[in-house]
Amino acid sequence: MKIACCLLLLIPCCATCQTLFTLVPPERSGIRFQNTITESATQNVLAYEYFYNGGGVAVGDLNNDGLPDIVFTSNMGQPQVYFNKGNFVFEDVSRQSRIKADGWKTGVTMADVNGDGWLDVYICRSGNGDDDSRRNLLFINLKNGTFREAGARYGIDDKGNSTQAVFFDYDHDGDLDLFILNHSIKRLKNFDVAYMKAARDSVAGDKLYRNDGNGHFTDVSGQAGIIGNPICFGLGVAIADFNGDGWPDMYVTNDYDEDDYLYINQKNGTFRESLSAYLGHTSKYSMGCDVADVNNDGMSDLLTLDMLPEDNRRQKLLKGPDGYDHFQMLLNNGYYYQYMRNMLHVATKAGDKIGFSEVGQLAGISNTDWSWSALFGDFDLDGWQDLFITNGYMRDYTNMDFLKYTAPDEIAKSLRQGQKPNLFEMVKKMPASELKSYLFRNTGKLGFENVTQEWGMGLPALSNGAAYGDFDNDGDWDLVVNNINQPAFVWQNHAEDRKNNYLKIRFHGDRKNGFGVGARVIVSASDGFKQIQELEMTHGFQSSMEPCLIFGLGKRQTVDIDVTWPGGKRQVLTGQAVNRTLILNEKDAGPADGAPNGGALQTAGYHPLFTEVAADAIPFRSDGIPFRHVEDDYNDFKREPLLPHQYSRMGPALAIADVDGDGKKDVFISGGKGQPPSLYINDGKGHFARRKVPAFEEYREFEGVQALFADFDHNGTPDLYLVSGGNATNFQDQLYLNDGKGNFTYNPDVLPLTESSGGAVAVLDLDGDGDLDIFRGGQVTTGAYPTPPRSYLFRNDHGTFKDATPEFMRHIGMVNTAAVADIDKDGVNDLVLAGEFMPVTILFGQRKAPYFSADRELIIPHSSGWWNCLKVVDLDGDGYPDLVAGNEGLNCQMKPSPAGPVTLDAVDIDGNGSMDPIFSYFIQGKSCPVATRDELFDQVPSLKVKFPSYAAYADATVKDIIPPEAMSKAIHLEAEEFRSGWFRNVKGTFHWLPFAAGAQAFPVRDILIGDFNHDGLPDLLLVGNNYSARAEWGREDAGKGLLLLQGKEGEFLVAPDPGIRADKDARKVARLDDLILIANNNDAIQVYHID
Amino acid sequence: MRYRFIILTSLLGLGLCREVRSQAIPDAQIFRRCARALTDVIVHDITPPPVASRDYVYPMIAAYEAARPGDSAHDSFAGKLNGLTDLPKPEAGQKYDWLVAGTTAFYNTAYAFVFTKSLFRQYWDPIDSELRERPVEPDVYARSVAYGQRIAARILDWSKQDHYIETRSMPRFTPGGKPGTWQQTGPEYMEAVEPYWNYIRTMTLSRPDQFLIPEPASFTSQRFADERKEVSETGKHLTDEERACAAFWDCNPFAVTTVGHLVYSVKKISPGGHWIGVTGMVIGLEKQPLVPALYSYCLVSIALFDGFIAAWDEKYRTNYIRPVTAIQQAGLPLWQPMLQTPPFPEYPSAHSVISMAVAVVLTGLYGDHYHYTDVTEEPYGLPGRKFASFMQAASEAAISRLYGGIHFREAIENGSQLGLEIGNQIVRRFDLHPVGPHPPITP
Repeated sequence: MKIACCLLLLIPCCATCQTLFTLVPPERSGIRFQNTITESATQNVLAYEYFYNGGGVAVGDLNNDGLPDIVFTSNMGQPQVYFNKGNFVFEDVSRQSRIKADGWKTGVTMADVNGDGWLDVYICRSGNGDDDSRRNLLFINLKNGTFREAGARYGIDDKGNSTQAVFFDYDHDGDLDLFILNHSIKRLKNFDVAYMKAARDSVAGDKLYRNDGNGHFTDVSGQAGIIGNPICFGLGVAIADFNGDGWPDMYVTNDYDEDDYLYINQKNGTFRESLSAYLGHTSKYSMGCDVADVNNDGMSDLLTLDMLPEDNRRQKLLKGPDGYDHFQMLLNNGYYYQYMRNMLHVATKAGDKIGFSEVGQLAGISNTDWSWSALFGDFDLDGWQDLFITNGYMRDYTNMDFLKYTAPDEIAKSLRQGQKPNLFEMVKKMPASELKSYLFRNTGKLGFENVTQEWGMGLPALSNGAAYGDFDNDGDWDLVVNNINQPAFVWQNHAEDRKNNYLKIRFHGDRKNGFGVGARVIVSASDGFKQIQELEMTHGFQSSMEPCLIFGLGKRQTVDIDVTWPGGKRQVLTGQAVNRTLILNEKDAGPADGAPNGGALQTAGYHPLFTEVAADAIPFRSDGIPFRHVEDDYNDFKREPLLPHQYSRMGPALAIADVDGDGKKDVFISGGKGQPPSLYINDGKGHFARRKVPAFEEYREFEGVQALFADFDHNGTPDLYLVSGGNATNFQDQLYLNDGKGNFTYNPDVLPLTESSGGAVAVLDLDGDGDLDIFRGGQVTTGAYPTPPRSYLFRNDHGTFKDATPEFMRHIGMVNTAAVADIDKDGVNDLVLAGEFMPVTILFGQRKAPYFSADRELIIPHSSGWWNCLKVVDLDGDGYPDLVAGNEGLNCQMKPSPAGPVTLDAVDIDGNGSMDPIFSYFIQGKSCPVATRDELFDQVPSLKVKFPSYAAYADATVKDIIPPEAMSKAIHLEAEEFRSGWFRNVKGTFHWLPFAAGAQAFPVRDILIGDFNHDGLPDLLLVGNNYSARAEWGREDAGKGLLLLQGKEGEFLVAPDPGIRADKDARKVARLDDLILIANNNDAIQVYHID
Repeated sequence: MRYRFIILTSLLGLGLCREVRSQAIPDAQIFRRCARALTDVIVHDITPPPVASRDYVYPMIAAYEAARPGDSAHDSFAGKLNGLTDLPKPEAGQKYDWLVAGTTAFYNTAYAFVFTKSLFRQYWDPIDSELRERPVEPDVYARSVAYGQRIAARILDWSKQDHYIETRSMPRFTPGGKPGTWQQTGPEYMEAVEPYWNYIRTMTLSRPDQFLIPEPASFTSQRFADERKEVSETGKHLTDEERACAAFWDCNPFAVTTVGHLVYSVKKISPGGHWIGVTGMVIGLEKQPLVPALYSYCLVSIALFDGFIAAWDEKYRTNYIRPVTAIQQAGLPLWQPMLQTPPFPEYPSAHSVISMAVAVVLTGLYGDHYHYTDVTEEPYGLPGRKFASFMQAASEAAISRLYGGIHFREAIENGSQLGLEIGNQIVRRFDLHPVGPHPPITP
């Protein structure tokens, strides 16, 4: 209240610098609603665990006067109904409306349930009361400002513990059906998961009610395939046509351990839960969610919220993500990959299939603390969907000090005084975390920037349900937010000041869906602009929106509109004027035309460049079984818990050459530890037969991670060099000599010992004697990360290799990639190296020993990264070799820069003989350690003395962790650049050109260079991912194979749909004639045909 | 007997004047407060049971060795415990305050082991001020402190060679996932505790597996099915008495309770802490002088320490499944044990091992048929329980694990047998009477 008054005073004097949103205070709006929560001995969070989840908001025109009205739910108080009188003045008509609800109210939604053209109101109830106190309520609009409750008459007075309801036409029969999102009120732990998942609970489980069209609904949950088990904790539901087949699908979020559900509409009245087929991972404590086309590609994207805080202090103080073992345990018990942060699943397309890449961290919206409502809307009307997130929690009760110290101490104190511990009194003492909501502006580059303050929304509150509507009918979304113990916020949007254009669309549907719920609209413009929106009323959390769409258009003056009505009727309007409300009538629409998807899968004039070779047609087989890399289950974290990722999963290696001299290229792929490598001989008819090589079988315990063919013994046939990697034992590389017929033999005396885990190999002629010498880079020092491992330079002395490594190169870094080129054009081979915490390093060769020296080295400034691969090629055709390099990417918590690097300080802090690597990265301008207090103690138990509480550790930096005397002996490493990109060689000077945002969504492991679109310019095909990062960070699986097409100015543009889906843990990509091979870790090989 | 105990504690709280106090409170009673301070910090630090046994044994031995020269009837442990040799001796002909020497050695040793040192100091400060007010000459006081410190330093050196530090950098345990093997258990699915505890140097055992017990029933055997059924059925029909028994002996240092997102823990003394408490109680009841009191603490601590090493050695050798996992797998997916299952393999029951080992030691020291009421769990809200002997108490501790649903019968019976052998080896080594076969363990 106090803050609101201050703002009111500020507004007049600040008219010229008005923020996008301004608060309309209760005195002006007349909206005095607040969700008052009163805790008592019987009514509190211990009695009912969703006590602090807050209420909802529904916006819609209840009295058909052209102005959207508002209904609020209060958990403990009565709902309040406000009629919009225009000019942001509202009249409280709660009493007259006869909308009354006792018990514990949760979500509210409007919908024209009986199809009479008037919005009705449906209120969900929950709590720990009896069945009748929980029955949901349907208030039928009597068209005179009053409502009559008729839930039982319609058969939808569900007695479940409901969070929210959605009315939508899932069976396309022209009336609105009802999905009810429910939640359990008991958190069960320690049970048989498979049993529990399959169980059905009539109170906790979600429900689907089919509208029979006769004023009655039928519960069809079971027959329609809806999961309704006792462990679901539904907090969010979003309806959209996720797979682009013209039928509404459904995403349901679940709190706690239970997986989210993605229900794909089977078009026959049933749904099939298909989460794992579409999403690589999800939020863990999933809360509110929303759907929008965030990248304007005509496909709906999905956001789910979670509770990861933005600031380091709260990350360290509150319960964080699960550790490795707990995570693995959940996985083994049948749960999916779930991580504690917001997830933005962006739809991607490969041929006729839609998949999703999760890019929440890249987009910068992954950490918004304890979050409830997510609402996408183009608030500034610039043509990109922005994002509003509410958050806050009444008690900070995942506080780790409370768990481990405060609570047990209080309990012990009570017991010693002979009293029963009073948990409620302890909970009451916990502070509230009032947080600022987040308002993000969509930058249009797969990114969002935080504009909460700039757009005028920096008011801390416990905010839950929220809804948008255009209260003043000026063509932009205003917002209303339901707060706990504080008046609701009414935010007026002043987008009109920004002179952006808009188009608002209302729908008049046929049959009993008069508001056109389910209509899909694609608005496009001549400049290539294209955005899809689907009309659904329920969005965000416990709330429903005004049933219309607003498209922000920036400066565009005319647009084309493509509408698909639910059921498939189609309507295309071209050259439409902007800045108006367009009313579309379903009766004007044409019949279904067989392309009912609203354009998601339309590829007008576009043909994919690659087609998939189906799994059953993969030519690389033995005994009929296609090649599959099998990784052993060695777990690096058991030995070194603070590693950033595992180093034992770097294979397979892939190499291509004509080994038998028949003019046809053959294929070599290495196996995991214990799996012998495979050699596939090309028969020239599209078949490749695996040739058993006894030496390969013999050395199967060596894990091949890099391989190349070259003629080392000068007999005119390709020999095989295989680098041994991993993070345990067996690091001896092997050189297999070819007899010319593809028979490979191994002579252990040819190569010197290689004692480090290998990461890279390159061949070059060091001394100009015409035979091939070898550089072999070390990747990691097993058990002592990040001690620089040994790298080697082997000189070929008449077929026997001698270690000729100059001193400075022996421990040059953790080398993941090496390339050879004559960078300085002096006719002598140069070496380009990169790796983890390594800058891109060019070593200029000289003919005489020591061949390389520290004073003939070029380190590209600010290029230290986590480089995975690097290729040398003249991309721009200027005669100078350029470098193209794959890095970690930015779809992670860390976003290093020269001013804010990722750092690693490593030393044996406690003198127990093990290296203690302490990672830090910048959070809000300060370098903070990655490790949680528990993880740190697991590695260095003696630090318990230094940090006796979580609070004591919450602000610690690496300087507090490593004492000064140890720090002076520490290895100090920095990475300043995580982006993939290319170093353009302009007459000997390298210019850094990072790739577009899409290419930063995943760790790039390999890059294939070729002119794939036949325009004479080299293009780039990027593959990667990383499934074995720290459990808290989770699988990096957003990579789907990205094709970058080179434009005329040397720019690289993301090809929208190359037809490739490299969606596994890809390591290598290579071309064999017109085939593209993708070698994946612990997975089958993928093959694509170049069209 | 309990009456006496209460009077003593209330006297401590009354702030009597110095002379009265120093006469009224025997030295051993003051030392009991030292032990209590250590226990409280061990509880606060959430110390796993085997680690707690280590936190007790070295400070106790340090205290004993520093105070022992004050009582010619008691010998040094040097030469009798693995790796412990030549300890510093007091200066001949000089006067010492043996309580000051003993408590100083105790404090300095324990301080190195506990994590929340500020809390230990906070508990220690009132004890320290009382000690400073003892009617001894300043030079005697200073000499006693110095001697205690020298002993502590030597004991700490000795402790550093027990391989504890090396075990800190060993790979974390990976559950095998094979049928019949241990899996992490709810509600927190914590990682396995101390998988390398058998690397720790024992005190009296020649090796961790000096006393081998039979392997547990094969997972696929009828015997296993019967044992599984016994635990699940017992758990379903627990009597109030069985519940009380299981709760009394729970001794879970970190039971995590979850109410939605609200997660909190309830801490209790570990099994070792429980028996240290019982030992203190008996010392009080028996009005033991300082050195015999410390001797009792030491033998009990040694029994705990070796007992945990032997139990842990067997646990990670057999890597046996916990009842909750086996029972849920066998068609009772909702079955829950009454107690939270501790995070380590099942066989044998370590509580049975150490309880029996300690009971043998206490019987050797204070005799069989020792009637007492165990009130050590009262501060944790659990009423006292009456016992007719230490052996009876140990048997009850053992069977309580079956009621609690966290152990099978074999783990309890064979665990008790292991404890009996460890306890008897200790009493024989220190010239006490061994105990015959332990009483049958029946509900």
